Amino acid sequence: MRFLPTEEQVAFAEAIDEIVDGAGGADVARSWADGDTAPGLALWEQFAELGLLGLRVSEDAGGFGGTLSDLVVVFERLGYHGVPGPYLETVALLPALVDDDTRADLAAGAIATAAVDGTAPAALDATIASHRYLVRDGALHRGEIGEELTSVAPTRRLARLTPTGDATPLGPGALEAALNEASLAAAATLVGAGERMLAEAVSYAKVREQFGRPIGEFQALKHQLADVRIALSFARPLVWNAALRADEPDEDRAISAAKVAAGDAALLAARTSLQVHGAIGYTAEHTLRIWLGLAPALSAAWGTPAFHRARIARDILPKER
Amino acid sequence: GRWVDDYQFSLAGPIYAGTNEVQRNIIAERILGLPRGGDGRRA
Repeated sequence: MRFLPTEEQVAFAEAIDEIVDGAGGADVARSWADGDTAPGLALWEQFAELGLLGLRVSEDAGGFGGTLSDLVVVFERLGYHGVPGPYLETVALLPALVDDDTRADLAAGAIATAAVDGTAPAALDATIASHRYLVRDGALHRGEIGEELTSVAPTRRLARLTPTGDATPLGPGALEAALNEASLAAAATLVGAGERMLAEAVSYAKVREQFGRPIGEFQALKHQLADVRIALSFARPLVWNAALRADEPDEDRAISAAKVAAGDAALLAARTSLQVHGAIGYTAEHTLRIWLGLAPALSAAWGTPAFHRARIARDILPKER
Repeated sequence: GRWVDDYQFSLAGPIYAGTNEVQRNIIAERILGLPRGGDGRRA
């Protein structure tokens, strides 16, 4: 069992890092949060050229033919950079639910989003998506934009969808598999966002001085940051394990464990990085807000912690007689 | 009994061979690269 990225995966992750840095790094997310989606959409185009958007579409169908481990590598980087846009929906959730033609469109760079009753009641970035779906009563509907909602994450623009046109019934197990993949992508994004918040807090603690020394010298800060390091280092192997459990009997449990651990680690990273930054971390101008919002948003989306804990409990506890 | 022994031993575990707090300092300094010193320890 491999718990480390392959050389190809490391190279792909570095390609993502270079593309994001070339596009302006966190400025892309900042602009998106302030309503200017142009840099983010340009970045989407670049990722389409890289093949990232067809990651989970087979090579025969014009995609990249990537594994779930590849998915984990990609979404951790997207989380680390706080890249805005409905990547999870387009890359992880929808390819297995849509028809062949649409799947080819997605692999080629079309922007898609979806709301799923009970799991993700509002669709992300519906206004910029050319393909909008609503999963309701076991069927895939085209969605029309309804009420717009405000997310705790400044880069996440949410809207409810209403069904329109004919519905396509989803095959047995298809939705469960797609939701598992979405949960895994969310878990990887959370690990990436958590790593970024830890890195930002550590950098800040080395330069910010108080009582004549860098605040990073004080044990009170060291211990909190060490606990974040521990939480993230425990969450990541669970995410990797989940990527390797596809089609195994314990797949659901592995994905739920990854999602809960990644969410808890990212929330701890958010709380700690905010405290380490002090008042400056609260300001809307500071870049930290990009990741501070992602942690609670993604921890609650694609299966709440309670949903995933209940799924683990059902798997490990004796069945009721 | 066994449960009482285990419970009492669990109180010692976080203390001997370097308290959990000392381990956290090591993580902070060696892995995260935070500066040594402060709190009366060797600068």
